[in-house]
Amino acid sequence: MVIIPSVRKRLFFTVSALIMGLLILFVFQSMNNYATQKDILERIEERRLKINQIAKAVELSERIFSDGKASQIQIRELEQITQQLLPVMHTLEGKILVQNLSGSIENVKNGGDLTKLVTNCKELSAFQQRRLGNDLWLLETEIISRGFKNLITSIIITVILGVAVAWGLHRLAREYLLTKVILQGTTNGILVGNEKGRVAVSNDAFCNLLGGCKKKNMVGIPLAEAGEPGRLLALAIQGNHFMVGQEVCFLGPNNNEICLLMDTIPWKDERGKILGGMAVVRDYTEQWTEKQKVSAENIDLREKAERDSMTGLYNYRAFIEHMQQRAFYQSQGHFALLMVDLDNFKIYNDALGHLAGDRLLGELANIMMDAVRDDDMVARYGGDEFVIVLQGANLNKAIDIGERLRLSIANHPFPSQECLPGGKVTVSIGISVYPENSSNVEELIRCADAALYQAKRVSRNRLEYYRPAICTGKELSEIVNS
Amino acid sequence: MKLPVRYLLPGMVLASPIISNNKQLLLGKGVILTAKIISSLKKFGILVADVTILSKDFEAPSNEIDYGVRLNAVSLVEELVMGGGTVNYKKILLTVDSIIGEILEGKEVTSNLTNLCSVDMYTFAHCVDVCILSIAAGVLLNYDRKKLLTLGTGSLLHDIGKIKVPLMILNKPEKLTPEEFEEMKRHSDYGYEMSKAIYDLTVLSKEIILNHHEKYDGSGYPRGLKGEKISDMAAICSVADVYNAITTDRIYRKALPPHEAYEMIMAAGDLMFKNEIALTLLKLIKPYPVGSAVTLSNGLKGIVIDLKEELIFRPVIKIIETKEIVDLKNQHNLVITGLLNNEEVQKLALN
Repeated sequence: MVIIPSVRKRLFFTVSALIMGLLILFVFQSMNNYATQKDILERIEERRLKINQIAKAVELSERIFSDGKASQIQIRELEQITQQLLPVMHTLEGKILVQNLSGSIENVKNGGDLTKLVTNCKELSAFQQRRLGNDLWLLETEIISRGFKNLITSIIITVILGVAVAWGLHRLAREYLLTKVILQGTTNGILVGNEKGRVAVSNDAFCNLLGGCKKKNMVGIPLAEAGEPGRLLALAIQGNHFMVGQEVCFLGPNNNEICLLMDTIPWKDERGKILGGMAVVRDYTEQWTEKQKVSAENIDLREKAERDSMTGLYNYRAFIEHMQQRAFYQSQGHFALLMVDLDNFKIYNDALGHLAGDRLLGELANIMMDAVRDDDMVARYGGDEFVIVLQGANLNKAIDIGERLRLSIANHPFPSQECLPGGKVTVSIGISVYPENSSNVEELIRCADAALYQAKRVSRNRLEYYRPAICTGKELSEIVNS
Repeated sequence: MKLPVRYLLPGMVLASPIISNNKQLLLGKGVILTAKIISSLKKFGILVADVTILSKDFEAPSNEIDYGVRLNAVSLVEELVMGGGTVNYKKILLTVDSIIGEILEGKEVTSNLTNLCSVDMYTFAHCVDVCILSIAAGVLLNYDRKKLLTLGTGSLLHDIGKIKVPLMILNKPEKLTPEEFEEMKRHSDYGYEMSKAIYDLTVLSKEIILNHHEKYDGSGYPRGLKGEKISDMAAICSVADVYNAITTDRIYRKALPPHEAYEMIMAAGDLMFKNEIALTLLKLIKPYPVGSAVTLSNGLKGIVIDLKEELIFRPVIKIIETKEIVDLKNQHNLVITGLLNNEEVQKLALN
């Protein structure tokens, strides 16, 4: 399982960073604008106030002059004006002029020269007029410089944002390009499926490995339509299976066999939600064919090693191996072991020669093969002894089959069988059953052997099944003599 | 079928040989009886003969345990009893093993020797018959050879103690008095004492001799043992002993026909006998053996001519009147109602 942060998330981060940046920029700009506007309005107001006050003072002084004398009220007004003006005068000249004015007011109050007051007022007014011109220019410069500063800050922020966004986008782009390069550069076929079971990404190599696609661009089609690997990937995503080196063989579009090695990697996000999965496939056809050939050769070799050359049945070794495997997988249920021995084979051999004897064994083998089912095993145990493993047979079934086999052999017209005692070829059969008699292979063979011995001892052409009471002559003498 | 000698008729054919007291073969199988032969049989003290009345219609079962083997065993027991236990134990084992061999070959085990022997030989022949039945049961119970030898030896010798019981009591035709019965009961102990003289005889074999009259419900003798305290081997011998005794004609009572003996053993399961062992022995018993004459529920009479092991109550029957062959396996509306008694058999033979 591979846990990956989704691309979407990265994109979301980038976009939200961009929006945040723009927002900050907007707020900053508006605050800046507001401050500038307020500042300038304040200054204009101040100047308007000053001019008003000064105009008032001029008007008052001219009226006083024309009246020739100053009333108490006029003087107080003038004093108020100067008091108001003093703190708002920024230049030294302005301050001196105001102080001069207040000095001349004091003079007038004390009955001094009126012309001085008028001159002072006029001087102040002229000064203010001059200052106003200056101020306007200053204000203009101020506005321009503020705007310029704003512009610069905005540009800086925009540039920083732009760089950040560009960097993020660049990263994304680079990843995207890298993915593209990897996808198209690799000879491995890559198929990515999303959580909806549809193709998210695939590369050309994948198409080529499949032996060609119906649609060049597979993105969006259901995974099941993307060949056998697609079907498996869909299953792997559903079942959350991680597979490595899975052999996948199927028929290509030209009915040629294609084999792929396939890894499937499901994807999950941090919270365990399935995002999809990826399949990586590589060509395996050649190795597979090679392997098939080798294993076919191996099977062939093994088959040869397992077979008895004369009868074509399994040989002793194969039988023992088979039995040991069975003993290993003890859950296989019932089976029966039939030990079949040809009666009086030595007489037949001596009378008709070994070639005839071999032919008889071959014929016998065929009869036995016909008498059993496909999944039963017939093996040559040695000499004229055969074993049959009856799959899933209990004692009754085994006796049934064994008795049928015994009869069919007794009734078969073997060549030159007249030379035998009784005039026909017969077999004796001993049966043991798993797991009733024993769950041990050797013991089971011994049981069948003892039953066979009993059958031979009694009459030949006879079937006997194992009971604990049965024992061989050797075992009996051991018991009696102990 | 076995007929008492007094029911024999000239023209009947012997289905089994007849053996004399000194274990000589008097008459072979297949001999056609004449009036003269029948009278000499009476003279020899022969009680019962195995004859067939329909010799043309079926072959008498030839699958019986070899007479040589059986007689050999009889003489061995006699030798042992008379000689006071000087017989070589190995010889006993080999004799028992020859019987085991016969049984493993699938020979008929219920055809008893006891019926065919004279009174004097009864005890010995009975011993061999019980031995055969016990071993056959042991084989069904999956005993191994060693256990079978122990079981066979024990049951072959189970009644040797009877030699010490006075003949007067042993062969008394009337009911025994309590004192006499006490003496009779002692034969188990006598036998056990005698068996000690046989060197090498296994403890289990001796236990059979001692306990073969113990019953599952504790009603037996000599010690009144109960349930699992009696060994399985002694229990087997006990059932075989009872079966053989009740199917044999004795001076004091008639033999039960096989189907009645079957019912009786079945009824005694878990009372007198351990059920499992009684059922095992029943598997050996054929209530209507081949050759027996039976009456059917439709009133017709017939002879059993073939028997399937798993359908012992539904054999193949040849109807005497119509000569047709009926397989009861396929005739579900027809059942056997009983065996013909001796008089009826005789009447049939006369026709």
